[in-house]
Amino acid sequence: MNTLVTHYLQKAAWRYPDAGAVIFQGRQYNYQALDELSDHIALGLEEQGVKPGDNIGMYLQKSALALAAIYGVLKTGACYVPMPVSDPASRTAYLLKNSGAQYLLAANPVNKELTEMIHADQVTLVDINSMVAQVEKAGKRFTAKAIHDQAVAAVLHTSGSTGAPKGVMITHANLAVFLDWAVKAFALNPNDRLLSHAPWQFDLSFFDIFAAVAAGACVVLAEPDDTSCGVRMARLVETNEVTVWQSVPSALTLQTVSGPNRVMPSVRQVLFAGEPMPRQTLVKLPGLFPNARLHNIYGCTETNDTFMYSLPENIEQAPDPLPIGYVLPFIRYRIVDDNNQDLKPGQPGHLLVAGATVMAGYLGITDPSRFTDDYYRTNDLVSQTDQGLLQFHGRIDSVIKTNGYRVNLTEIEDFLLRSGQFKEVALFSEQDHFIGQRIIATVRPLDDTHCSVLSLKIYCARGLPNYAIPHSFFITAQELPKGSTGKIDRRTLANWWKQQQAVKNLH
Amino acid sequence: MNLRDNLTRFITTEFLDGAEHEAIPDDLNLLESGIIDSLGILRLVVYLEEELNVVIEPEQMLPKNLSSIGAIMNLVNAESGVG
Repeated sequence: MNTLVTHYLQKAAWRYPDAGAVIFQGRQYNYQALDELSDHIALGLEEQGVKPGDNIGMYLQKSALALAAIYGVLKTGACYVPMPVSDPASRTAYLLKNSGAQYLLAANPVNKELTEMIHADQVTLVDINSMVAQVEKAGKRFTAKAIHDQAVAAVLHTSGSTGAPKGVMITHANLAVFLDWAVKAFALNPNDRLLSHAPWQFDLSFFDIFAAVAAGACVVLAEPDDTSCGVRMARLVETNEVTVWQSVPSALTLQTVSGPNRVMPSVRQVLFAGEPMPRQTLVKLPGLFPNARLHNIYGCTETNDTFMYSLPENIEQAPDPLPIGYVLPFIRYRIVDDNNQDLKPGQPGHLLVAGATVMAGYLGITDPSRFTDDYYRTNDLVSQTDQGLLQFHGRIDSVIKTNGYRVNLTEIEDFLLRSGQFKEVALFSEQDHFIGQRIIATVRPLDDTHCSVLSLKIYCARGLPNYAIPHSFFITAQELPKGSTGKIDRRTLANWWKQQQAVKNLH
Repeated sequence: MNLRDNLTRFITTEFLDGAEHEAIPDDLNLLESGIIDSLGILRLVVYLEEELNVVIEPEQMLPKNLSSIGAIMNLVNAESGVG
Protein backbone atom coordinates (compact mmCIF):
# COMPACT_ATOMS: atom_id res chain seq x y z
CA MET A 1 0.00 0.00 0.00
CA ASN A 2 1.29 3.40 -0.96
CA THR A 3 0.22 5.68 1.90
CA LEU A 4 1.52 9.23 2.01
CA VAL A 5 1.36 11.64 4.93
CA THR A 6 -0.68 13.98 2.72
CA HIS A 7 -3.34 11.28 2.18
CA TYR A 8 -4.38 11.59 5.82
CA LEU A 9 -5.04 15.28 5.36
CA GLN A 10 -6.98 14.76 2.15
CA LYS A 11 -9.06 12.08 3.83
CA ALA A 12 -9.78 14.23 6.89
CA ALA A 13 -10.69 17.22 4.69
CA TRP A 14 -13.12 15.04 2.76
CA ARG A 15 -14.69 13.34 5.80
CA TYR A 16 -14.67 16.23 8.28
CA PRO A 17 -14.32 19.45 6.23
CA ASP A 18 -15.81 21.64 8.98
CA ALA A 19 -14.09 19.99 11.94
CA GLY A 20 -11.23 21.81 13.66
CA ALA A 21 -7.82 20.78 12.37
CA VAL A 22 -5.59 23.22 14.22
CA ILE A 23 -5.97 25.83 16.95
CA PHE A 24 -3.39 28.59 17.06
CA GLN A 25 -3.55 31.67 19.29
CA GLY A 26 -7.17 30.96 20.09
CA ARG A 27 -8.22 30.73 16.45
CA GLN A 28 -9.47 27.49 14.93
CA TYR A 29 -8.89 26.44 11.32
CA ASN A 30 -10.99 23.61 9.91
CA TYR A 31 -9.78 20.74 7.75
CA GLN A 32 -11.02 22.25 4.51
CA ALA A 33 -9.10 25.48 5.24
CA LEU A 34 -5.90 23.61 6.16
CA ASP A 35 -6.13 21.45 3.02
CA GLU A 36 -6.77 24.43 0.74
CA LEU A 37 -4.04 26.55 2.26
CA SER A 38 -1.55 23.72 1.86
CA ASP A 39 -2.66 23.34 -1.78
CA HIS A 40 -1.88 27.01 -2.34
CA ILE A 41 1.52 26.66 -0.74
CA ALA A 42 2.25 23.60 -2.90
CA LEU A 43 1.25 25.54 -6.02
CA GLY A 44 3.40 28.50 -5.04
CA LEU A 45 6.39 26.27 -4.39
CA GLU A 46 5.98 24.55 -7.76
CA GLU A 47 5.94 27.95 -9.44
CA GLN A 48 9.20 28.71 -7.66
CA GLY A 49 10.62 25.59 -9.28
CA VAL A 50 10.35 23.09 -6.43
CA LYS A 51 10.37 19.49 -7.68
CA PRO A 52 9.77 16.08 -6.07
CA GLY A 53 12.85 15.02 -4.14
CA ASP A 54 13.91 18.59 -3.27
CA ASN A 55 14.71 19.50 0.31
CA ILE A 56 13.00 22.64 1.61
CA GLY A 57 14.34 24.46 4.66
CA MET A 58 11.44 25.43 6.95
CA TYR A 59 12.42 28.59 8.78
CA LEU A 60 9.07 29.36 10.36
CA GLN A 61 7.78 29.75 13.88
CA LYS A 62 5.10 27.32 14.93
CA SER A 63 1.74 28.50 13.55
CA ALA A 64 -1.28 27.27 11.58
CA LEU A 65 0.39 28.67 8.45
CA ALA A 66 3.58 26.74 9.20
CA LEU A 67 1.56 23.54 9.60
CA ALA A 68 -0.06 24.17 6.22
CA ALA A 69 3.45 24.79 4.86
CA ILE A 70 4.61 21.34 5.98
CA TYR A 71 1.70 19.75 4.13
CA GLY A 72 2.27 22.06 1.17
CA VAL A 73 5.91 20.99 0.89
CA LEU A 74 4.88 17.33 1.13
CA LYS A 75 2.22 17.72 -1.56
CA THR A 76 4.88 18.80 -4.05
CA GLY A 77 6.82 15.58 -3.34
CA ALA A 78 9.59 17.54 -1.64
CA CYS A 79 10.65 17.04 1.94
CA TYR A 80 10.70 19.54 4.80
CA VAL A 81 13.79 20.27 6.85
CA PRO A 82 12.89 22.18 10.03
CA MET A 83 15.32 25.00 10.90
CA PRO A 84 14.60 26.67 14.23
CA VAL A 85 14.33 30.46 13.96
CA SER A 86 15.96 30.65 17.40
CA ASP A 87 19.23 29.19 16.07
CA PRO A 88 22.27 31.40 15.45
CA ALA A 89 22.62 32.23 11.74
CA SER A 90 25.77 30.12 11.39
CA ARG A 91 23.88 27.01 12.48
CA THR A 92 21.03 27.66 10.05
CA ALA A 93 23.60 28.08 7.29
CA TYR A 94 25.13 24.74 8.30
CA LEU A 95 21.72 23.00 8.23
CA LEU A 96 21.04 24.43 4.77
CA LYS A 97 24.38 23.28 3.45
CA ASN A 98 24.15 19.85 5.05
CA SER A 99 20.66 19.21 3.71
CA GLY A 100 21.48 20.59 0.27
CA ALA A 101 18.29 22.67 0.50
CA GLN A 102 17.87 25.04 -2.45
CA TYR A 103 14.93 26.87 -0.87
CA LEU A 104 14.35 28.42 2.51
CA LEU A 105 10.69 28.94 3.29
CA ALA A 106 10.46 31.87 5.71
CA ALA A 107 8.32 34.78 6.80
CA ASN A 108 9.87 38.18 6.17
CA PRO A 109 11.77 39.88 7.59
CA VAL A 110 14.63 37.40 7.96
CA ASN A 111 17.65 38.69 9.90
CA LYS A 112 20.36 40.35 7.83
CA GLU A 113 23.22 38.05 8.79
CA LEU A 114 21.32 34.97 7.63
CA THR A 115 20.05 36.67 4.46
CA GLU A 116 23.64 37.41 3.47
CA MET A 117 24.78 33.87 4.18
CA ILE A 118 21.88 32.45 2.16
CA HIS A 119 22.67 34.73 -0.73
CA ALA A 120 26.30 33.62 -0.77
CA ASP A 121 25.16 29.98 -0.87
CA GLN A 122 22.65 30.65 -3.68
CA VAL A 123 19.68 29.43 -1.69
CA THR A 124 16.33 30.93 -2.73
CA LEU A 125 14.60 32.70 0.12
CA VAL A 126 10.82 32.29 -0.29
CA ASP A 127 8.55 34.59 1.71
CA ILE A 128 5.52 32.46 2.49
CA ASN A 129 3.08 35.34 2.93
CA SER A 130 3.66 37.00 -0.42
CA MET A 131 3.80 33.61 -2.13
CA VAL A 132 0.38 32.61 -0.76
CA ALA A 133 -1.09 36.01 -1.64
CA GLN A 134 0.09 35.66 -5.25
CA VAL A 135 -1.30 32.14 -5.64
CA GLU A 136 -4.66 33.18 -4.25
CA LYS A 137 -4.84 36.04 -6.70
CA ALA A 138 -4.07 33.74 -9.64
CA GLY A 139 -6.81 31.29 -8.52
CA LYS A 140 -5.27 28.13 -10.00
CA ARG A 141 -5.98 24.65 -8.67
CA PHE A 142 -3.40 22.22 -7.40
CA THR A 143 -3.24 18.75 -8.89
CA ALA A 144 -1.84 16.00 -6.69
CA LYS A 145 1.40 14.37 -7.81
CA ALA A 146 2.17 10.68 -7.95
CA ILE A 147 4.70 10.17 -5.17
CA HIS A 148 6.21 6.94 -3.90
CA ASP A 149 5.89 6.18 -0.20
CA GLN A 150 9.64 5.53 -0.03
CA ALA A 151 10.19 9.22 -0.77
CA VAL A 152 11.72 11.19 2.08
CA ALA A 153 9.13 13.33 3.86
CA ALA A 154 11.24 14.95 6.57
CA VAL A 155 14.88 15.46 7.44
CA LEU A 156 15.45 16.11 11.14
CA HIS A 157 18.86 17.14 12.37
CA THR A 158 20.18 15.49 15.45
CA SER A 159 23.42 15.15 17.33
CA GLY A 160 25.44 12.28 15.95
CA SER A 161 28.01 10.20 17.81
CA THR A 162 30.83 12.37 16.54
CA GLY A 163 31.24 15.71 14.86
CA ALA A 164 28.49 17.90 13.49
CA PRO A 165 24.68 17.38 13.50
CA LYS A 166 23.40 14.78 11.05
CA GLY A 167 20.24 14.82 8.95
CA VAL A 168 17.95 11.86 9.62
CA MET A 169 15.83 10.94 6.59
CA ILE A 170 12.27 9.87 7.41
CA THR A 171 10.09 8.50 4.60
CA HIS A 172 6.33 8.67 4.10
CA ALA A 173 6.22 4.91 4.68
CA ASN A 174 8.12 5.30 8.00
CA LEU A 175 5.53 7.82 9.15
CA ALA A 176 2.46 5.96 7.88
CA VAL A 177 3.29 2.85 9.93
CA PHE A 178 3.85 4.97 13.02
CA LEU A 179 0.67 7.02 12.54
CA ASP A 180 -1.58 3.99 12.05
CA TRP A 181 -0.18 2.51 15.25
CA ALA A 182 -0.52 5.76 17.22
CA VAL A 183 -4.17 6.28 16.27
CA LYS A 184 -4.99 2.76 17.44
CA ALA A 185 -2.77 2.64 20.55
CA PHE A 186 -4.18 5.83 22.06
CA ALA A 187 -7.69 5.46 20.56
CA LEU A 188 -7.33 8.88 18.90
CA ASN A 189 -10.59 10.12 17.39
CA PRO A 190 -12.17 13.28 15.97
CA ASN A 191 -13.13 14.45 19.47
CA ASP A 192 -9.52 14.56 20.59
CA ARG A 193 -7.37 17.64 20.90
CA LEU A 194 -3.67 16.91 20.81
CA LEU A 195 -1.16 19.33 22.23
CA SER A 196 1.77 20.29 20.05
CA HIS A 197 4.30 21.00 22.78
CA ALA A 198 7.64 20.02 21.24
CA PRO A 199 9.27 22.23 18.60
CA TRP A 200 8.85 20.80 15.11
CA GLN A 201 12.54 20.02 14.59
CA PHE A 202 11.96 17.34 17.20
CA ASP A 203 10.67 13.87 16.25
CA LEU A 204 8.06 14.03 19.04
CA SER A 205 6.19 16.45 16.77
CA PHE A 206 5.30 13.68 14.27
CA PHE A 207 2.76 12.40 16.75
CA ASP A 208 1.30 15.83 17.52
CA ILE A 209 0.90 17.21 14.03
CA PHE A 210 0.46 14.08 11.89
CA ALA A 211 -1.36 11.63 14.19
CA ALA A 212 -3.92 14.33 15.01
CA VAL A 213 -4.72 14.63 11.29
CA ALA A 214 -4.67 10.84 10.82
CA ALA A 215 -7.41 10.64 13.49
CA GLY A 216 -9.37 13.65 12.22
CA ALA A 217 -8.58 15.26 15.58
CA CYS A 218 -7.46 18.80 16.27
CA VAL A 219 -3.96 19.93 17.22
CA VAL A 220 -3.47 22.80 19.67
CA LEU A 221 -0.21 24.64 19.06
CA ALA A 222 1.87 25.73 22.06
CA GLU A 223 4.37 28.49 21.36
CA PRO A 224 7.66 29.06 23.18
CA ASP A 225 5.86 31.76 25.22
CA ASP A 226 3.54 29.04 26.51
CA THR A 227 6.01 26.21 26.98
CA SER A 228 8.36 28.37 29.04
CA CYS A 229 5.66 29.11 31.62
CA GLY A 230 3.78 26.43 33.56
CA VAL A 231 0.82 28.66 34.39
CA ARG A 232 0.32 29.62 30.74
CA MET A 233 0.59 25.98 29.65
CA ALA A 234 -2.07 24.86 32.13
CA ARG A 235 -4.30 27.66 30.89
CA LEU A 236 -3.77 26.70 27.23
CA VAL A 237 -4.76 23.12 28.05
CA GLU A 238 -7.81 24.22 30.01
CA THR A 239 -9.09 26.80 27.50
CA ASN A 240 -8.74 24.47 24.54
CA GLU A 241 -9.81 21.30 26.37
CA VAL A 242 -6.72 19.40 25.33
CA THR A 243 -7.19 15.64 25.69
CA VAL A 244 -3.73 14.32 24.76
CA TRP A 245 -0.49 15.73 26.16
CA GLN A 246 2.87 14.64 24.83
CA SER A 247 6.13 16.22 25.94
CA VAL A 248 9.57 15.54 27.32
CA PRO A 249 9.63 14.78 31.06
CA SER A 250 11.33 18.09 31.89
CA ALA A 251 8.26 19.94 30.55
CA LEU A 252 6.13 17.98 33.00
CA THR A 253 8.62 18.76 35.77
CA LEU A 254 8.13 22.44 34.97
CA GLN A 255 4.37 21.96 35.42
CA THR A 256 4.84 20.31 38.81
CA VAL A 257 7.01 23.13 40.16
CA SER A 258 5.11 26.08 38.65
CA GLY A 259 3.46 27.49 41.74
CA PRO A 260 -0.09 26.47 42.64
CA ASN A 261 -0.74 23.34 40.63
CA ARG A 262 -3.38 23.80 37.98
CA VAL A 263 -5.25 20.55 37.50
CA MET A 264 -5.88 19.51 33.89
CA PRO A 265 -8.92 17.18 34.02
CA SER A 266 -9.61 17.28 30.27
CA VAL A 267 -6.45 15.31 29.48
CA ARG A 268 -7.01 11.56 29.04
CA GLN A 269 -3.59 10.48 27.70
CA VAL A 270 -0.18 11.72 28.84
CA LEU A 271 2.83 10.59 26.83
CA PHE A 272 6.39 11.37 27.82
CA ALA A 273 9.50 10.55 25.85
CA GLY A 274 13.03 11.68 25.20
CA GLU A 275 14.73 11.20 28.56
CA PRO A 276 14.24 9.30 31.85
CA MET A 277 11.26 10.46 33.94
CA PRO A 278 12.33 11.59 37.43
CA ARG A 279 10.36 9.84 40.18
CA GLN A 280 9.57 13.06 42.04
CA THR A 281 7.83 14.38 38.93
CA LEU A 282 6.07 11.10 38.17
CA VAL A 283 4.40 10.88 41.57
CA LYS A 284 2.85 14.33 41.10
CA LEU A 285 1.34 13.59 37.67
CA PRO A 286 -1.91 11.95 38.88
CA GLY A 287 -2.58 15.16 40.82
CA LEU A 288 -2.11 17.28 37.69
CA PHE A 289 -3.90 14.89 35.33
CA PRO A 290 -6.56 13.08 37.43
CA ASN A 291 -8.23 11.46 34.40
CA ALA A 292 -5.22 10.45 32.33
CA ARG A 293 -3.37 7.26 31.55
CA LEU A 294 0.41 7.75 31.61
CA HIS A 295 2.80 6.30 29.04
CA ASN A 296 6.59 6.26 29.06
CA ILE A 297 7.81 6.04 25.49
CA TYR A 298 11.28 5.22 24.27
CA GLY A 299 12.80 5.88 20.87
CA CYS A 300 15.14 8.19 19.03
CA THR A 301 15.01 10.33 15.92
CA GLU A 302 16.53 7.53 13.80
CA THR A 303 13.91 4.94 14.77
CA ASN A 304 10.91 6.91 16.03
CA ASP A 305 9.10 5.26 18.98
CA THR A 306 10.18 1.68 19.56
CA PHE A 307 9.20 0.73 23.13
CA MET A 308 6.43 1.81 25.47
CA TYR A 309 5.56 1.28 29.11
CA SER A 310 1.98 2.20 30.00
CA LEU A 311 1.79 2.84 33.71
CA PRO A 312 -0.67 0.97 35.94
CA GLU A 313 -3.53 3.07 37.32
CA ASN A 314 -1.83 3.05 40.70
CA ILE A 315 1.52 4.46 39.67
CA GLU A 316 3.10 3.38 42.97
CA GLN A 317 3.09 -0.13 41.46
CA ALA A 318 5.38 1.00 38.61
CA PRO A 319 9.01 -0.11 38.96
CA ASP A 320 11.59 2.51 39.96
CA PRO A 321 13.34 3.54 37.73
CA LEU A 322 10.61 3.32 35.11
CA PRO A 323 11.20 0.68 32.43
CA ILE A 324 11.42 1.90 28.84
CA GLY A 325 8.80 -0.68 28.04
CA TYR A 326 7.68 -3.47 25.75
CA VAL A 327 8.51 -3.51 22.07
CA LEU A 328 6.02 -1.90 19.67
CA PRO A 329 4.41 -4.15 17.03
CA PHE A 330 6.40 -2.86 14.04
CA ILE A 331 9.83 -3.22 15.68
CA ARG A 332 12.28 -6.12 16.05
CA TYR A 333 15.15 -5.84 18.50
CA ARG A 334 18.26 -7.55 19.81
CA ILE A 335 20.28 -7.04 22.99
CA VAL A 336 23.88 -8.03 22.27
CA ASP A 337 27.36 -8.05 23.80
CA ASP A 338 30.45 -6.42 22.29
CA ASN A 339 30.78 -9.34 19.84
CA ASN A 340 27.17 -9.05 18.67
CA GLN A 341 26.14 -12.22 20.51
CA ASP A 342 22.59 -12.15 21.82
CA LEU A 343 22.32 -11.88 25.59
CA LYS A 344 19.95 -13.61 28.00
CA PRO A 345 17.29 -11.71 29.97
CA GLY A 346 18.84 -9.86 32.91
CA GLN A 347 22.16 -9.25 31.17
CA PRO A 348 22.74 -5.65 30.06
CA GLY A 349 23.96 -5.07 26.52
CA HIS A 350 23.67 -2.96 23.38
CA LEU A 351 20.17 -2.34 22.07
CA LEU A 352 19.76 -2.87 18.31
CA VAL A 353 16.44 -2.18 16.60
CA ALA A 354 14.99 -2.78 13.15
CA GLY A 355 11.56 -2.28 11.63
CA ALA A 356 9.25 -0.21 9.51
CA THR A 357 9.83 3.11 11.30
CA VAL A 358 13.63 3.00 11.17
CA MET A 359 15.05 5.87 9.10
CA ALA A 360 16.09 5.57 5.46
CA GLY A 361 19.56 6.73 6.56
CA TYR A 362 21.58 9.85 7.29
CA LEU A 363 21.58 12.47 4.58
CA GLY A 364 24.83 12.34 2.63
CA ILE A 365 26.49 9.85 4.97
CA THR A 366 26.88 6.14 4.63
CA ASP A 367 27.77 5.09 8.13
CA PRO A 368 27.70 1.29 8.21
CA SER A 369 28.97 1.31 11.80
CA ARG A 370 25.52 2.39 12.96
CA PHE A 371 23.92 -0.72 11.44
CA THR A 372 24.50 -4.42 12.12
CA ASP A 373 22.69 -6.25 9.33
CA ASP A 374 19.52 -4.18 9.12
CA TYR A 375 19.53 -3.37 12.83
CA TYR A 376 20.21 0.20 13.94
CA ARG A 377 22.63 0.46 16.87
CA THR A 378 21.04 2.83 19.39
CA ASN A 379 24.23 3.15 21.49
CA ASP A 380 21.96 2.63 24.50
CA LEU A 381 22.66 -0.06 27.07
CA VAL A 382 19.59 -1.98 28.18
CA SER A 383 18.50 -5.25 29.78
CA GLN A 384 15.21 -7.09 29.65
CA THR A 385 13.09 -9.27 31.92
CA ASP A 386 11.84 -12.74 30.91
CA GLN A 387 8.61 -11.01 29.85
CA GLY A 388 10.44 -8.64 27.47
CA LEU A 389 10.19 -5.52 29.60
CA LEU A 390 13.25 -3.37 28.92
CA GLN A 391 15.22 -1.24 31.36
CA PHE A 392 17.62 1.53 30.31
CA HIS A 393 21.14 1.55 31.80
CA GLY A 394 23.03 4.32 30.00
CA ARG A 395 24.88 5.38 26.86
CA ILE A 396 28.11 4.09 25.34
CA ASP A 397 29.10 7.44 23.80
CA SER A 398 29.23 11.11 24.77
CA VAL A 399 25.62 11.80 23.87
CA ILE A 400 23.51 13.09 26.76
CA LYS A 401 19.95 14.31 27.23
CA THR A 402 19.33 17.72 28.71
CA ASN A 403 15.86 19.24 28.92
CA GLY A 404 14.83 16.49 26.50
CA TYR A 405 17.36 17.58 23.88
CA ARG A 406 19.95 15.16 22.60
CA VAL A 407 23.36 16.76 22.84
CA ASN A 408 26.74 15.39 21.86
CA LEU A 409 29.44 16.66 24.19
CA THR A 410 32.11 16.07 21.53
CA GLU A 411 30.34 18.53 19.24
CA ILE A 412 30.51 21.25 21.88
CA GLU A 413 34.17 20.43 22.63
CA ASP A 414 34.99 20.80 18.94
CA PHE A 415 33.16 24.10 18.80
CA LEU A 416 35.05 25.49 21.80
CA LEU A 417 38.42 24.24 20.50
CA ARG A 418 37.83 25.89 17.13
CA SER A 419 37.92 29.30 18.87
CA GLY A 420 41.68 28.85 19.25
CA GLN A 421 41.50 30.32 22.76
CA PHE A 422 42.14 27.15 24.73
CA LYS A 423 44.94 24.69 25.29
CA GLU A 424 42.50 22.03 26.40
CA VAL A 425 38.75 21.55 26.55
CA ALA A 426 36.81 18.67 28.07
CA LEU A 427 33.11 18.31 28.72
CA PHE A 428 31.25 16.11 31.12
CA SER A 429 27.74 16.02 32.51
CA GLU A 430 26.23 15.57 35.94
CA GLN A 431 22.79 14.37 36.98
CA ASP A 432 20.16 17.01 37.60
CA HIS A 433 16.74 16.45 39.16
CA PHE A 434 14.97 18.89 36.88
CA ILE A 435 16.60 18.77 33.47
CA GLY A 436 18.12 15.29 33.47
CA GLN A 437 21.75 16.23 32.86
CA ARG A 438 23.73 19.45 33.29
CA ILE A 439 26.61 20.14 30.92
CA ILE A 440 29.89 21.26 32.45
CA ALA A 441 32.69 22.50 30.21
CA THR A 442 36.24 22.51 31.51
CA VAL A 443 38.45 24.96 29.66
CA ARG A 444 42.14 25.65 30.03
CA PRO A 445 42.74 29.00 28.33
CA LEU A 446 45.96 29.98 26.56
CA ASP A 447 48.33 31.83 28.87
CA ASP A 448 47.46 35.32 27.73
CA THR A 449 43.74 34.72 27.34
CA HIS A 450 41.34 36.08 29.88
CA CYS A 451 37.97 34.44 29.88
CA SER A 452 34.92 34.61 32.09
CA VAL A 453 31.83 32.44 32.32
CA LEU A 454 29.84 35.29 30.80
CA SER A 455 32.16 35.72 27.81
CA LEU A 456 32.16 31.95 27.23
CA LYS A 457 28.36 31.81 27.21
CA ILE A 458 28.19 34.71 24.77
CA TYR A 459 30.76 33.01 22.53
CA CYS A 460 28.77 29.75 22.55
CA ALA A 461 25.54 31.57 21.67
CA ARG A 462 27.10 32.54 18.34
CA GLY A 463 27.40 28.95 17.16
CA LEU A 464 25.33 26.63 19.32
CA PRO A 465 21.58 26.28 19.89
CA ASN A 466 20.82 27.57 23.40
CA TYR A 467 20.08 24.13 24.87
CA ALA A 468 23.63 23.01 23.97
CA ILE A 469 25.39 25.88 25.71
CA PRO A 470 27.17 24.44 28.78
CA HIS A 471 25.34 25.20 32.02
CA SER A 472 28.60 25.70 33.88
CA PHE A 473 32.17 26.48 32.92
CA PHE A 474 35.12 25.23 34.93
CA ILE A 475 37.99 27.54 34.05
CA THR A 476 41.36 26.20 35.11
CA ALA A 477 45.02 26.98 34.46
CA GLN A 478 46.04 23.43 35.41
CA GLU A 479 46.75 20.72 32.89
CA LEU A 480 43.73 18.44 32.67
CA PRO A 481 44.08 14.96 34.24
CA LYS A 482 44.94 12.13 31.81
CA GLY A 483 44.62 8.37 31.95
CA SER A 484 47.36 5.93 30.97
CA THR A 485 46.44 6.19 27.27
CA GLY A 486 46.78 9.98 27.35
CA LYS A 487 43.03 10.51 27.11
CA ILE A 488 41.51 13.16 29.35
CA ASP A 489 40.14 11.50 32.46
CA ARG A 490 36.65 12.94 32.79
CA ARG A 491 35.88 11.13 36.03
CA THR A 492 38.80 12.82 37.82
CA LEU A 493 37.78 16.07 36.20
CA ALA A 494 34.25 15.70 37.56
CA ASN A 495 35.76 15.19 41.03
CA TRP A 496 37.87 18.36 40.69
CA TRP A 497 34.72 20.20 39.77
CA LYS A 498 32.78 18.77 42.72
CA GLN A 499 35.55 19.75 45.10
CA GLN A 500 35.72 23.25 43.70
CA GLN A 501 31.94 23.60 44.07
CA ALA A 502 32.09 22.28 47.65
CA VAL A 503 34.79 24.82 48.55
CA LYS A 504 32.73 27.59 46.96
CA ASN A 505 29.64 26.60 48.92
CA LEU A 506 31.59 26.92 52.17
CA HIS A 507 32.21 30.59 51.54
CA MET B 1 21.63 48.81 45.97
CA ASN B 2 19.70 49.65 42.82
CA LEU B 3 17.61 47.30 40.73
CA ARG B 4 20.29 46.71 38.09
CA ASP B 5 22.86 45.72 40.73
CA ASN B 6 20.38 43.44 42.44
CA LEU B 7 19.54 41.70 39.19
CA THR B 8 23.18 41.39 38.17
CA ARG B 9 24.08 39.89 41.52
CA PHE B 10 21.17 37.44 41.41
CA ILE B 11 21.94 36.33 37.85
CA THR B 12 25.67 36.05 38.52
CA THR B 13 25.14 33.99 41.67
CA GLU B 14 22.36 31.78 40.34
CA PHE B 15 23.30 31.24 36.71
CA LEU B 16 26.95 32.16 36.24
CA ASP B 17 28.34 30.16 39.15
CA GLY B 18 28.99 33.40 41.02
CA ALA B 19 32.46 33.25 39.58
CA GLU B 20 32.82 36.88 38.65
CA HIS B 21 31.43 40.30 39.19
CA GLU B 22 31.52 41.76 35.76
CA ALA B 23 28.87 43.91 34.21
CA ILE B 24 26.22 42.06 32.22
CA PRO B 25 25.14 44.26 29.29
CA ASP B 26 21.55 45.46 29.71
CA ASP B 27 20.61 44.16 26.29
CA LEU B 28 22.34 40.77 26.43
CA ASN B 29 19.73 38.09 25.63
CA LEU B 30 19.96 35.83 28.67
CA LEU B 31 17.86 33.08 27.05
CA GLU B 32 19.70 32.83 23.73
CA SER B 33 23.04 32.82 25.50
CA GLY B 34 22.02 29.84 27.59
CA ILE B 35 22.24 31.73 30.87
CA ILE B 36 18.57 31.25 31.79
CA ASP B 37 16.31 28.34 30.74
CA SER B 38 12.62 27.65 31.51
CA LEU B 39 13.33 26.64 35.08
CA GLY B 40 15.64 29.62 35.33
CA ILE B 41 12.76 31.90 34.32
CA LEU B 42 10.76 30.37 37.14
CA ARG B 43 13.58 31.03 39.65
CA LEU B 44 13.87 34.56 38.36
CA VAL B 45 10.12 35.14 38.80
CA VAL B 46 10.26 33.72 42.33
CA TYR B 47 13.19 36.05 43.08
CA LEU B 48 11.34 39.07 41.73
CA GLU B 49 8.24 38.20 43.72
CA GLU B 50 9.85 37.19 46.99
CA GLU B 51 12.92 39.39 47.20
CA LEU B 52 11.79 42.46 45.29
CA ASN B 53 8.06 42.21 46.10
CA VAL B 54 7.03 42.54 42.47
CA VAL B 55 3.97 40.57 41.38
CA ILE B 56 4.28 39.24 37.83
CA GLU B 57 0.96 38.43 36.17
CA PRO B 58 0.88 35.32 33.96
CA GLU B 59 0.13 37.61 30.99
CA GLN B 60 3.48 39.28 31.57
CA MET B 61 5.39 36.05 32.13
CA LEU B 62 6.70 35.99 28.58
CA PRO B 63 10.27 35.16 27.63
CA LYS B 64 10.62 38.51 25.87
CA ASN B 65 9.79 40.36 29.11
CA LEU B 66 12.45 38.43 31.00
CA SER B 67 15.07 37.96 28.32
CA SER B 68 17.54 40.68 29.37
CA ILE B 69 18.36 42.84 32.34
CA GLY B 70 16.90 45.82 30.48
CA ALA B 71 13.65 43.95 29.78
CA ILE B 72 13.37 42.79 33.40
CA MET B 73 13.93 46.34 34.65
CA ASN B 74 11.16 47.61 32.36
CA LEU B 75 8.84 44.87 33.59
CA VAL B 76 9.58 45.52 37.26
CA ASN B 77 9.11 49.25 36.83
CA ALA B 78 5.83 48.75 34.99
CA GLU B 79 4.47 46.18 37.44
CA SER B 80 5.37 48.24 40.50
CA GLY B 81 3.82 51.31 38.90
CA VAL B 82 7.05 53.30 38.89
CA GLY B 83 7.76 53.60 35.19
